[in-house]
Amino acid sequence: MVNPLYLFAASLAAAFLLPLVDKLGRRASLALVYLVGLAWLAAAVSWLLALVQGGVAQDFGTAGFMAPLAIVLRVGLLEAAGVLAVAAVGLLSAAAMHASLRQAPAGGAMAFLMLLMGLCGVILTRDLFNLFVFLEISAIATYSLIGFDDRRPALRSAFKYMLAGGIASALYLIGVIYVYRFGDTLNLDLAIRAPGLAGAAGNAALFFLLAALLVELKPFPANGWALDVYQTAHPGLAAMLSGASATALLLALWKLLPLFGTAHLVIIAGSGLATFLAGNLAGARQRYTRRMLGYSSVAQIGLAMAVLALGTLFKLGSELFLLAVAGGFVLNHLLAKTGLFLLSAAFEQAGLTDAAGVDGVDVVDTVDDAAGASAAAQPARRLSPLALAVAGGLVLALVGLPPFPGFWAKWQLVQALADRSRWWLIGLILGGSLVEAFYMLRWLGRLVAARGAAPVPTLRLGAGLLGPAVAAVALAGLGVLSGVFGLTGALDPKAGSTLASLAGEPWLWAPWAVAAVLFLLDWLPGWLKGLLALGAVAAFAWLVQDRLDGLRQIFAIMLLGGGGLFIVAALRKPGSRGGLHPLLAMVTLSLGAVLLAETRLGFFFAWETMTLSSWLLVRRGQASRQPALSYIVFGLGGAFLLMVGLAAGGFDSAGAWPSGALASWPFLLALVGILVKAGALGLHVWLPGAYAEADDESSGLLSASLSKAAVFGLFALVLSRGIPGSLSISLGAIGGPWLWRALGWVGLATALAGALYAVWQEDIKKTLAWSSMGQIGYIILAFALMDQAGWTASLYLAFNHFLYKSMLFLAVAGVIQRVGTRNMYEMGGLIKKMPVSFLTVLMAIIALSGVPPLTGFGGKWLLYSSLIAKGWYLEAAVAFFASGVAFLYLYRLIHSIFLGQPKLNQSGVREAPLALIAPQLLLMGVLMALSVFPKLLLDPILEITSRVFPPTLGFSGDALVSPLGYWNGTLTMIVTGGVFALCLLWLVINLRNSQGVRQFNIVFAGERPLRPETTHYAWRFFEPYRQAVGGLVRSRAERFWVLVGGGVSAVGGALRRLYTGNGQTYALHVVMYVVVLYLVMGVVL
Amino acid sequence: MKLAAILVHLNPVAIPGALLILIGLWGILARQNLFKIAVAFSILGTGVNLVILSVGYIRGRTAPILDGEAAVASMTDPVPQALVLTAIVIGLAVTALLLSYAVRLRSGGGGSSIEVHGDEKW
Amino acid sequence: MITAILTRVGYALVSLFVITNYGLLLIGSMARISAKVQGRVGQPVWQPYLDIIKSTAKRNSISHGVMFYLGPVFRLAGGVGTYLFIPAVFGSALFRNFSDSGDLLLVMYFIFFGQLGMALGASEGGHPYSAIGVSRGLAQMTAFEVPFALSVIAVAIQYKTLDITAIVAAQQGGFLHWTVATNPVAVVAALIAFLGMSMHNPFSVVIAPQEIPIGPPTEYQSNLLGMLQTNRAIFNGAKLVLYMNLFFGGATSLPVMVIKTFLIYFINVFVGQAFPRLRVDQSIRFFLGAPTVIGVAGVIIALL
Repeated sequence: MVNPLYLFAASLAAAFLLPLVDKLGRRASLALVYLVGLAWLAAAVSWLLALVQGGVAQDFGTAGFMAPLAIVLRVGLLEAAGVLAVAAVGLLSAAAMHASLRQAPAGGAMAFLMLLMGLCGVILTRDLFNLFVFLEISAIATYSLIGFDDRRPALRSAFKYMLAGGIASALYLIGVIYVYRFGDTLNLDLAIRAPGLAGAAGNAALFFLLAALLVELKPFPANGWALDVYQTAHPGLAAMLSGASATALLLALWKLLPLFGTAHLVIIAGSGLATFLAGNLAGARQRYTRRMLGYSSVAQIGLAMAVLALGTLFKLGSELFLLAVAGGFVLNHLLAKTGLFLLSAAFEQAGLTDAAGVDGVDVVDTVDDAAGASAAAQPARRLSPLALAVAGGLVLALVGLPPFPGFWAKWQLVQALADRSRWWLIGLILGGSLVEAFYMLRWLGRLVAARGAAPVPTLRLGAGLLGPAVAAVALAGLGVLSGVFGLTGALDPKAGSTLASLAGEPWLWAPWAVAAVLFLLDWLPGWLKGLLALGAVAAFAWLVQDRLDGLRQIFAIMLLGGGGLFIVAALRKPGSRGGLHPLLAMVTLSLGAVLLAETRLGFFFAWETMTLSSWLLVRRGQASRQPALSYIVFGLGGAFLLMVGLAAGGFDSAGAWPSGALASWPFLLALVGILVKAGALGLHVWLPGAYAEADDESSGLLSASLSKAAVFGLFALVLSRGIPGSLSISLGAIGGPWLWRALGWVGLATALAGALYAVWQEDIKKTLAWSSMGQIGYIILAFALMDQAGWTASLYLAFNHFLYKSMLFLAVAGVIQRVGTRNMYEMGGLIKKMPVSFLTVLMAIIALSGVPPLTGFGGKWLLYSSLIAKGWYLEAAVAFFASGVAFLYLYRLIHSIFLGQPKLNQSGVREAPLALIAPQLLLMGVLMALSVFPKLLLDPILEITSRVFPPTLGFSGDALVSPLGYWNGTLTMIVTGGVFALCLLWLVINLRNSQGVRQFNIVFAGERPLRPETTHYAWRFFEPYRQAVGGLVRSRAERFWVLVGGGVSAVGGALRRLYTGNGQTYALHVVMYVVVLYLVMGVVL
Repeated sequence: MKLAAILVHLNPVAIPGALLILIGLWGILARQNLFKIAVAFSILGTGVNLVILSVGYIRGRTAPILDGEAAVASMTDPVPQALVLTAIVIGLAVTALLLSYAVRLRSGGGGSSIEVHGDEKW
Repeated sequence: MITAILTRVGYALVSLFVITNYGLLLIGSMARISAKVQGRVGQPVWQPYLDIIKSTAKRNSISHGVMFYLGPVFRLAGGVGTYLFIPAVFGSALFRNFSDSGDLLLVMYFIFFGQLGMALGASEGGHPYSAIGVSRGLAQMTAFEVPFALSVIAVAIQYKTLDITAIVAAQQGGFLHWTVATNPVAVVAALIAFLGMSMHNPFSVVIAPQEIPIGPPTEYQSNLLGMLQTNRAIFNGAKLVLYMNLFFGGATSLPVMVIKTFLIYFINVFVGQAFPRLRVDQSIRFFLGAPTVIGVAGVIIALL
């Protein structure tokens, strides 16, 4: 292996030669800098190759001696990887700072070389004092780099940094000299074995060492200086600090870890966790992009620190496991944060220095609406799709979404903590992650330009995008590798098998693969992309059909079939419709993946993929910024609950739910997680906005299909994979009957509230959204019955909901497209213009309301029969009330849109495009077929439910018989049809001299009306009803969540007040922090 | 134990070192003038250096200069002295940087009190 | 097979003919009784026949569109269908109708079929009063369905079935076996709901018959109105038969049915003449108050 001393020598020589070389021109001297960086990179790669091919870690002595007589450098796997990371980040950062380095004096380039070398030295050295030297070299280099391009605010920050850094280095010196005094050595490996360090004095000495390192790692609250530096320094340098410096320091901490005792580890873990939480809470309140990234950076480093210490404290796993998890976090953070800071550098270079914005708003340097005013003065610009993809990849990785490394690391960590029942730790970590996801995704959401307005010019990022792109690609690659081989698979193939991976479930990658391909083809015309997406879904369905059991087949029709329908619907508008088809295909396939998952990790992976892709789909809508944000925050919150539940048990054969009443709460968490996605009352606040503001075809997909994934989740939770093993959990073990009764009431409350809210909406899509929520409520209610009749009802209702809600959303999409508004009172009388859409809506509302003879009645019959048979009488009565309320909004829907007085300005409206009509006709056909022959649907459902529960329902001829009654769908249809025909005949026979009249040919209030606006009774249609029962629904859940959000935000706001901006206060924080740590250590000891 | 005995047992190099460290810290935390803070850092650094030296100091022994076979046994520990040299160099660099930044901050029109250089906060 | 089907259809038509005439005479006689109470002479008992004949014989009809035509068709089909799904006379093949299509739940939901269709048809007329009437009617409907559903649940608990024939069978054997005797509380709830269902006073604001021509039929005339008038008779008959079956022991013969339904309908008239009218929000709050509590009490009694 290459002796690292050559590289140090080369770096120093280059730095000293730089002023001379500079005489040849700045180009030459910068070339030298890049060359040295490349040399480090090449050396690191060569070490890694040698080590992976079976080499062992090697020590390099200096001046011909080994320890203890001389300083030793070690090149092991971790060190090589660290140097690689530092060199790579260094090169990317240097490239980002290229322009500044060219203009500033040569000292900047020299300092950069020294920073690079210092960080590599921190990683490589095994000598405690030498570590100090390298720390100081990199610190001094950083100080000078902060100020090198003469940014005034950066000078201030550098001074504050020097105050904190100076105190830290004094601490380190005191620590190191006493370690030497009591341990008799400066060599790390010898010190670990030194007996003198075990006592109280040794502990104190080590404490000073540790405190200095911790301060350098920017712990809360002693990190104000770091935040200021992140905010004000050149973003390239910020990338270097956040990516490379933090990594090097973490590796130094990792090296020193064997020196420390329990008390020290407690300090590290506690400080790390506190930093993680506080950083994220305060981060949520930030207006400036780079300061926000700084908070996130600080928080992530805190988390990595905590994981390092916790791993040893709680014996979470082998050293390799720890390495994999902590390494996963560090790598994830390193690449993502580097990329994001570099992206911000690119924004700055493109001329966005202040509140200017992509999307006409304040994206780049501020993240708050407050800056919107100044943005208005500047021309709006938007990001190119590529830039958006890069930014998206980086943010999603940072937040820990699949398929990036952070996702796998988080799963392993939570799994390990759950195995050891450290629930409060899981809570802290996931809570902090959620806050971080909130503000990072809010930022990302702002980057997406609103469509529809006048075309805005694209922001030219040019070569500045290269660095972020490299980071994003590396993240994606590493993420996929960790997913396929397990986190440690790359490090050690043997250990890889002990960590969960998706090795056995290649299908779960289908959404990602298809989305990637379709995004690359996004320049194609829309119809071609639609066909490709449809083909992908069809191919997927065909390929996986053998893997689906009966239950999954039914859901596959709803999920994949629904996806297909809405992909067809997306052809309704000409043009490319950028991003729509890939996202629709991705969501559809992720729904398929949820069905296919065989392991807990697989299920969670698919679930998060679904959450993520559907969020992107929602965000594509025009005014969806705020609704999309609450969609993803609630989606992730639910997913986290599900993750904890899954980590504790359930789902696959390996993870039975823990038995015993007290042990049932992991199941409860998972249940609540799924109820979030189902939009159960109290957890539903994301739902109306997201459904309403997504693109019209996307809303349909969300409501008709995606909500069924939540329903499937309910079934999957209680059934271990594969139904043939009958009900493999004992239901009594999970919570007992009260749990299901409670779940039933949750469903019922959801049904009632959904229906009531829907009654008072003016927005057609909001009406449908609330209606969806209500209908899912019935499905939950029936599911909670936990018997054959109930589950039959639940599945039947789910399928029926899929049918009619697809029809409604398809028809409504056509109406909105033709009319150009979503307010029902602005429409009217469209029946003559859009007869097919009217017919669709008519059939759909009959099916929804449960009026015979269409399928809906079967659902109502099953529901009430099973509720009464089970003895849930009050529930049945409330369900009846809720069903009655549904009539109100359904009538209003069809009346306000299609009947009544047409608006004069809508006289030119045509029928909806074929792409919408064709799926509607298909669905109408299916609906009719299932209405006439209910057996077609009920036979497969009964086949499933009878295997799980003792059957109480069954067919006798065409009649479905329950213990209470019977229903013959076919005969009902024949009688109804016959009677209807008879009455129609009567009408036709007696119809004489029929005269059509014109629109206003009615008498209203004694005269002929003049304008439809004053004649069409549509606005505030059910006002008396609101007066009567409006008190039942007063947005309590919304207010509750606003309070929660406000509370979290207030805590963050209070925490950040610590950072007064005064350097001396920061120095005081550092001193106080050390004192407090010392006291805490005393307590723990 | 008598006060005198305690004083005798105290390390005559470490005590002034600790005092200087405290004075330096006080200066850093309490003086608002940028230049005085830099000076306080110097004092802090000097104190730390004295503490380092005190570890190598052994009462009654000679300087660590190898000029005879028996000298090793009667020498003080040379390592801390070597370390101090490095620490002094680094301290010098930091102080120089501090001062230069202080100059640039003041010449930029901000004044020399640290309180006015706190625009970035929260 | 064919013969069997034809026989059933024939029986059903006879049954339908009987209920239509009965329903018309019932309306006529009730109107006359109301008049007597108010000190008027009132219309002849056969006035409903005259009305239908007059409407049907109109020279021309006004059309607002296809759905406008289909409204009365839906309405009449709804009334006829509801009746045909109920066994009218216990143990009679002639009046068994098509009650093997489904149980009580089917009947309860089929009631909506005609109402929904009618509402849609009327809406195409474009008259705001139609829509206002529908909005009031639907709002009131959600409320009175609650005590009604509770009383039906009480019946289901008591007889452990939702099969109407079986419910009637269980009430045979004398007055003391009727639901009204075994669970009077539930029947009270059901009868209060019935007042709302019939849209008589004090719940008549939906159609507000005196002041303005409001409600779905506003724009209807000629034979379309004739169909609505026909339906009114059949639908009333169907609801009365249903109540009789659920709560008053059903009927074993046609005369018994006539007497029982007449008396049930008389409750409407009785209350209607004695009470003033409520606003919609008042009536909704009313139904969700005391009647609902009574209904819950009925369920509890059935459980005991």
